[in-house]
Amino acid sequence: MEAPGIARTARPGQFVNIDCGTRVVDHTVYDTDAAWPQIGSHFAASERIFLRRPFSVYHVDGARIEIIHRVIGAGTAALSRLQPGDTVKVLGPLGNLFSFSPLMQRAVLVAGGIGLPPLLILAQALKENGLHSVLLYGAHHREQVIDPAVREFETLCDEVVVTLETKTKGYRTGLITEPLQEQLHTGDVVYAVGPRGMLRAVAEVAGERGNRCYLLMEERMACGIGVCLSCMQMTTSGYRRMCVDGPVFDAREVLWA
Amino acid sequence: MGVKPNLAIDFAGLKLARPLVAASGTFGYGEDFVRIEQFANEDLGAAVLKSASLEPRTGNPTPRIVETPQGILNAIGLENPGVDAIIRDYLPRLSGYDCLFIANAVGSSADDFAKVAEKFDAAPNVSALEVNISCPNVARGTSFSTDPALAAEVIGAVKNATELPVIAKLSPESPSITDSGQACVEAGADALSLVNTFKGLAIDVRTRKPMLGYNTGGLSGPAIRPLALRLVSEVYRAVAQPAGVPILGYGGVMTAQDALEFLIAGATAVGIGTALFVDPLAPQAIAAGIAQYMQENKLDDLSTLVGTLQIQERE
Ligand SMILES: Cc1cc2nc3c(=O)[nH]c(=O)nc-3n(C[C@H](O)[C@H](O)[C@H](O)COP(=O)(O)OP(=O)(O)OC[C@H]3O[C@@H](n4cnc5c(N)ncnc54)[C@H](O)[C@@H]3O)c2cc1C
Ligand SMILES: Cc1cc2nc3c(=O)[nH]c(=O)nc-3n(C[C@H](O)[C@H](O)[C@H](O)COP(=O)(O)O)c2cc1C
Ligand code: FES
Repeated sequence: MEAPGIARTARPGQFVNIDCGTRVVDHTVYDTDAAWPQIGSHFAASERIFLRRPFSVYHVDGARIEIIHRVIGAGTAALSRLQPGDTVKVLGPLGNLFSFSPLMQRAVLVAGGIGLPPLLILAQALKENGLHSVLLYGAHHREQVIDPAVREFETLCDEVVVTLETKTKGYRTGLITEPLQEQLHTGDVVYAVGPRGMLRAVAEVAGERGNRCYLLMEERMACGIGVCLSCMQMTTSGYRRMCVDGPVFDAREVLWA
Repeated sequence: MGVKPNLAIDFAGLKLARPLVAASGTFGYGEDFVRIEQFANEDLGAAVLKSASLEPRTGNPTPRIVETPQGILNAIGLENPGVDAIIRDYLPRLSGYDCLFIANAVGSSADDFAKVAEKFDAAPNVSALEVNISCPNVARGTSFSTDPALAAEVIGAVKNATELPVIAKLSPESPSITDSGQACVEAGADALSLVNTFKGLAIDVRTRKPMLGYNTGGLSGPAIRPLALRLVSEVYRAVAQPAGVPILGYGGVMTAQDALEFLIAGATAVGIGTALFVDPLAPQAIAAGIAQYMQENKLDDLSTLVGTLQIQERE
């Protein structure tokens, strides 16, 4: 996406809110003689996708920003139908940042599934600051692995480890916490993005080992700028807004419901 | 004509530069939108701040929001840091804007409401007080509005506690919204605002659980617009017009056309809430559209449009 203002200011950890436009619901024409539409069929409908959808900034290239998204529901489906040259409304950059210190030993980046994209500009920033990093990337199965992104990380990180939950030739099988246990050294700082269960497991490992750990979290959002108080995460200092006080939280502050 | 249409309007003694008002709970405490490029608080005539209670409130468990067809269900639960913190941390910063700020009070008894009102009375940068007697997301939240006697008790207590113009915010769920509105006007309300959200439910069919942490939520957005418009029209004819009290109309306004509908139905000012989440620049576009309509219809005073709905004769 061409978005010079966002491209200029976006920092690792931040996201954008995209207006995904008009929802065109694929419809199977239902039997007009039947009294009720059959289960599984849909009414023909074209309706505006209402709220904006949040996506992490994956890559910045001059005046352009890139996101990588997976198709979940109507909003992401509409995004995937966009053609080059289409116009979308994008609000951003939003949210706080992944913080890192030039004094830290090494960054251990942990990504689960579609959690990979936001870590790229972090890996770039780390490298620019002469800091070492490794990427531990867990996916459910082979098709989920975002190959082009993995290649990008290979140029930035000292090491990239991919694990799959489904047994696959050429890949390590298991959960991401296993390579994490092996890789984590004193002084490493962990940056994790992924499903809630994974984040919690990673936070536990880092906590037990005494490593600092930052988590990029997700919650349903409406405004993205801190006014509606819908995207709350319970923390040691009460409810915090994911879209402004987050999406990055220090794992020690997060209270898991 | 050539001259720029004048969108200014008088609302309960407030001089609004535009008939557009940001709705409580969608605008934070007044300065959150100004960091968006191209947005200016002056795009609005006024902005209502998030509801304030006497003591801080933590709000409801998450999820607090779910998207529904052409709208959202929210169950925020009036989370706020309490009236003292709001007056201390936010209000002093709000000077220097051409847009006016309206505080919004919530309480669990008439006495509670009055205490909050009294604090805002002495606070800086507040031009009026909206009284939220209609929140569906807390215990007994709407009961103040749905019971005319209770509504009158709250508004009476608030009027005694402040000299600010008092706007009573009505629930669309009242058995008779005109009775509730009438009771508020008799108790001294300087204006009425309607509607707050409609109580609704969304279900996750896989888990058979409600989608929201609070189970139910309040519906807002275009989904409620025709319902809200009908109520504004009724309250205008039955209460507001006879009493000479203005209405601030809310309910799914996204475009200039929507805002014009509310004005014609009888609202003197139009609230914009949920639309701000979808398009923070909506107020600008709406103001431009109203200006164009005024030009096309040779209107030089917007107040001449208010309540001009041509009701058709029925048998
Ligand atoms: C800070 C942040 C960064 C994100 N970055 C990415 C990314 O880089 N790539 C990517 O593929 N996805 C990302 N997501 C998840 C993405 O926002 C959702 O997949 C998307 O909103 C789903 O919309 P939908 O209409 O397709 O799905 P639906 O399920 O139909 O959406 C219904 C509603 O639920 C909300 N919702 C659904 N899933 C999520 C979720 N996981 N988090 C928050 N809200 C959700 C939607 O926004 C929408 O309001 C991110 C989420 C957050 C909060
Ligand atoms: C997320 C959210 C929070 C709200 N919080 C409040 C509130 O604190 N106090 C209040 O009086 N109304 C609150 N409202 C109601 C709005 O002010 C408004 O009356 C309603 O949303 C209808 O207008 P709309 O369709 O333009 O949003 C809230 C609405 C939303 C969507
Ligand atoms: S999405 Fe509105 S406060 Fe975070």
